[in-house]
Amino acid sequence: MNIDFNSEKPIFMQIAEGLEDAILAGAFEEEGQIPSITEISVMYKINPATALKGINILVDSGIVYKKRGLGMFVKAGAVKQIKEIRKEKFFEDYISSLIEEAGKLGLKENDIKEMIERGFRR
Amino acid sequence: MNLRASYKYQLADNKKSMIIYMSIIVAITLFLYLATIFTFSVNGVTTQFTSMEFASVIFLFVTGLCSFKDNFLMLTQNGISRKTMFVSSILNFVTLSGILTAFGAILLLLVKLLAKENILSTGMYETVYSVRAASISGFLMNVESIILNFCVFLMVIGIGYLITLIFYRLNKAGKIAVGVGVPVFFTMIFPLFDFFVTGNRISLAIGRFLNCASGFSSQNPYAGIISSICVFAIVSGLSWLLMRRAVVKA
Amino acid sequence: MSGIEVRNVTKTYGRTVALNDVSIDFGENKIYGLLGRNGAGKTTLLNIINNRLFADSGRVFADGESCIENDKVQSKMYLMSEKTYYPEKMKVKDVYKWTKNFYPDFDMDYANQLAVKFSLDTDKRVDSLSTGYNSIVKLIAALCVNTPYVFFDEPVLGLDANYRDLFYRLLIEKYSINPCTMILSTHLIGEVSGVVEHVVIINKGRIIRNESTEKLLSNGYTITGTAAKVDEFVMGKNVIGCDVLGGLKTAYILGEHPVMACEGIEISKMDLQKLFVKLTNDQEA
Repeated sequence: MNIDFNSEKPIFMQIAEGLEDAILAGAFEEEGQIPSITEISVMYKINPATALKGINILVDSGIVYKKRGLGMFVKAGAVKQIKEIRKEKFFEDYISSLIEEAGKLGLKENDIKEMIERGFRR
Repeated sequence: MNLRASYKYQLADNKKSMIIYMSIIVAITLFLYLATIFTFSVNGVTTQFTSMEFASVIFLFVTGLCSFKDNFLMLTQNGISRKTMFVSSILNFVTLSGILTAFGAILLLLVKLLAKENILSTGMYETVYSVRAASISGFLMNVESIILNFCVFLMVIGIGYLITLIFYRLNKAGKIAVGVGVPVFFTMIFPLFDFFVTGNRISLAIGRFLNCASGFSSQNPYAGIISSICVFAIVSGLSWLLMRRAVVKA
Repeated sequence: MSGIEVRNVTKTYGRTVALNDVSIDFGENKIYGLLGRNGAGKTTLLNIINNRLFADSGRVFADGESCIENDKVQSKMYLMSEKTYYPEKMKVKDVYKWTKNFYPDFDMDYANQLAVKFSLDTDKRVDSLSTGYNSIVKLIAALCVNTPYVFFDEPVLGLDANYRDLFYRLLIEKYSINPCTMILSTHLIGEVSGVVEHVVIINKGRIIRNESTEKLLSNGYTITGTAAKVDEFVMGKNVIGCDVLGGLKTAYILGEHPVMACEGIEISKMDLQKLFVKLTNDQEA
């Protein structure tokens, strides 16, 4: 997980997505513990309030939960849940902007399909 | 409580120099005592020595001179108000004066006990109030002497403190003006003015005033005691006026 | 705890007005960045709050009581200054010993741990320390003093990159575990932009910005493109600065990010340092 201070994306979003990535990749197991606010904010040199905001996004979407006195833990079924959310975002992030960029370059639908097939063959 | 913290710090700051000073005095006294014993056994000579009160006066004056700047910076860094600093400084002065008064008295007592008639000691009291000293009991003289010493010590350390405060508050030009101007005034301008213009009347008036205040001709040590306390009160008041708007410069 | 309230403070040195009718609040449990150019008035403001100097007019309160000449209030705050006010011959370990004397909540164990982390020899005397180590001695004291309000005036003066990094991490860690109000006054804006929650910008003795970092940054953006396109775009907008490189022009604009992208124009974020420089530059674009 890396924080890009120059990115358009707010830092707390980067934290939330970075943690999601880690959960998807299996770095944090379901029912396992994730780093504390203190650890995250020290690691990335960001204000703890920002780190908290990022974690709260995951709490709100039901991906992590708080165990009183112990810390934050990954909910069971989080991986599946993240994948679902991401699939929808995939269309927004990649497909929409792909079509837009294609328009700028003058590429047609068939050109795109050809390129995708080429990509999968690699 | 911050007064206690401030007082503790200031006292600790003076601890080292006090110990060194007192050790030197003890060493000198011991040396004189041993020398006396030796010469007496050889020649039957008695020794008279002036007690170390005058040394203490100078030591305390210098201590007063050193009591402001470093302490002010350190105490301000640690959140102490000027009010508290002032009060703890006064308490410090009282403590130091008290310690040296007691120290001097005890040392004298020890020497007298051990050497009896072989050592005579004269201090501030005997020098100024010699007539009275001869006419009252030894015990009363010791009591008055102790009180007088304490008050003079207090006065002197207060004067040193005021002087250092004046210099702290003055800017560079002011420092030069005062540092040169005051001595020149008192050693050259005033004496000449008084001699030629007023026919020494001012000096005489000052002399009479000092005489009265110190109780010299009336041989009244209580006048001296009260005058010392008054001077201490005045210089302390002036010190506070200078201190209350003092600003931290490095 | 109700915070520190500065009300209409003015301070003049001769003909220079260091602070001009400044009013600001520092609330509970937040990390503030106090940013300003050299001579803007940052140190003067901090010194007045911490009873080092007296304002010509105006008042300062902390938790409802006046800060001036008030031991009780001053014991709730600690200022790490640029200058060193410890006696030259004092050893570092005694500096901490005495700090504890005045601030009973001072954590001596933590101070010793930090000294090790910074490779600070606590037997050294204050006058034998380099500029960097001078700062280290003072910042350790500030990190261990445990008062509700802690002010840092140029805390990383003279520190190498490694120690600066360490300082920020320690600051964040301390704040996360024991929240308090911290005010960081610094020139190194880029380094602290992720750390501070709330930004106060002071310029020529006046407060020109006082808002959360998020809000401040969301209210500014840059656009880059050909000079013609840029000029067209910026009409009617609040431009605070411009850079020109050949035919390429970059404009710095205050306002909400435009939602739609425009042809031939690249829109990007404005970082805190850039925003600060453009806001406090003397010359107009």
